[in-house]
Amino acid sequence: MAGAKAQAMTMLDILTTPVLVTQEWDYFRTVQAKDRKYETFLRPQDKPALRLNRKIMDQYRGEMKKFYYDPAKYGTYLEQLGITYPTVKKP
Amino acid sequence: MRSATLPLLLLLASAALAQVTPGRRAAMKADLACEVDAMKKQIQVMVDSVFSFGELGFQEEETSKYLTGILEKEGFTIERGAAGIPTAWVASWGSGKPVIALGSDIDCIPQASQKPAVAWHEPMIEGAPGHGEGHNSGVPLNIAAALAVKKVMMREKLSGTIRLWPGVAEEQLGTKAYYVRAGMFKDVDIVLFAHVASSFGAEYGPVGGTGMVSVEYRFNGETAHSAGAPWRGRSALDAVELMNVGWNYRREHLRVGHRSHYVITNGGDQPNVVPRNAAVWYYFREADYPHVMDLWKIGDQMAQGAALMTGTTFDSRVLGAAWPGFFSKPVAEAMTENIKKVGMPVWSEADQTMAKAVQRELKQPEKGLSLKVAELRAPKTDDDDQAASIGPMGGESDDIGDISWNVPTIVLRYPANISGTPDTIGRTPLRWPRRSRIKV
Repeated sequence: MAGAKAQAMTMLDILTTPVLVTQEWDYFRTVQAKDRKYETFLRPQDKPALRLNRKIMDQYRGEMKKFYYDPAKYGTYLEQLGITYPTVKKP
Repeated sequence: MRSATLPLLLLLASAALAQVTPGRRAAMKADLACEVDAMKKQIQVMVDSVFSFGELGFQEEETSKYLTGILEKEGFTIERGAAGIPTAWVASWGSGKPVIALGSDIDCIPQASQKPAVAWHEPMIEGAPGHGEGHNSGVPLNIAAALAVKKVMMREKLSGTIRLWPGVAEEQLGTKAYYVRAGMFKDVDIVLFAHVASSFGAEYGPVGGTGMVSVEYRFNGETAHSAGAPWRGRSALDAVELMNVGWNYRREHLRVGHRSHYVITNGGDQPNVVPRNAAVWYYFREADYPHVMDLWKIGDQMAQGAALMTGTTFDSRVLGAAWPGFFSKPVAEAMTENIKKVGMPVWSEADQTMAKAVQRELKQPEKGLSLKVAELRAPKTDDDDQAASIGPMGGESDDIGDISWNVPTIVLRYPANISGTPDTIGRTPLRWPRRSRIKV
């Protein structure tokens, strides 16, 4: 929640302070990109590795689905799992 | 009609902006905090739900379906399959400038299944993936921020566009360079990225760490019976092993700050069959683009040598890439001021008990959770000539770097995990701990 507040407040600064946008682009062009320009590591033939992790998820997804959170039935995920917060002593 | 209306709208928008005095802005920020507080339950449900999906990079199907469903109900327009990646998307609301893009990662980590709120290693499903790092909380944070700002924008008639996007397959550094290549940020004015941390802060300039390219080398030979007619075979596995031997000899003569590592992703099927195919996956990390490219070239040379020695052939494919990050000073300063306004969360006694128990379990100092916000982190400078000549001393990589070199970007580090766990074994989410992770 603290992070969401800081994020939202900074969005508001950007929306209501046009000079901030000018300043960040000025910093980007005159400081960051002054001596170095972006060149992608990707070669023209490279494509996203969409098949990565597919086998692992195929192996586990069925079992994991049994543990998906059901907010209609439980107030929290811990309640659904029957875990007390915090659990710090080993049985 | 259109030509007459547009200048009028622009004039009205400018007039609206001109009326935002510092006092009015402060009042609006107070409203935003109240809006976020009012979403407490919704945030908990989102964070818990994404945690329970626990999906690895490129396979974030449930996660993306769930998050885009929420945004769609809230009036955002969704573009699915962004950059040709099925689990990537862009959600947009509003119109005109400025265009603010909120990003955060959504993928989890192999073998990180863990019962939440338990201070020792206890997987929910042995061997299954899980949200060890806390990537379950970043997009929910951005959704809460976006919905709060949307409400204030509508009320105050503020012009601007809010976009949200997920970091798919961040643990493989697998997508953000493709997002850039697809032009996802061409009209964006600022990217506000959020990443879970044990601290609450922002930074600017070059922040250290490494750039990286992730390359899989795939060798192709001839199969044969390993005992009956081994002379007829050309072992692709031999090529993989010779490449690795060559790389490890060369390692001594690389810059101290470089980092490289590999795993064999295909080592053949069984010993009596000469492997026709074999593959090895390398990460090449260095301080900047030219030095990463140097490492990659050496890797290619090792592969060529190994192929020559074994009578095999090879090709390679890039599985991921990342530029070292460089972040915007003006926006990092604004973010830091807001972080100071918000302050650290008020940790409960149970939170501190949990944190100390995890730190004790990991044999780390029992410091508990941080109570102070971080000061604005300045760029790392190195005036030592010798240190400068050998480069920075290694570090992790994150593909937000690619975006940061195309549009002004900052990373909000928000406090939701436990300090004291080395990066090699993980940063442990506060309420969703796990035992170990491999940080990219």
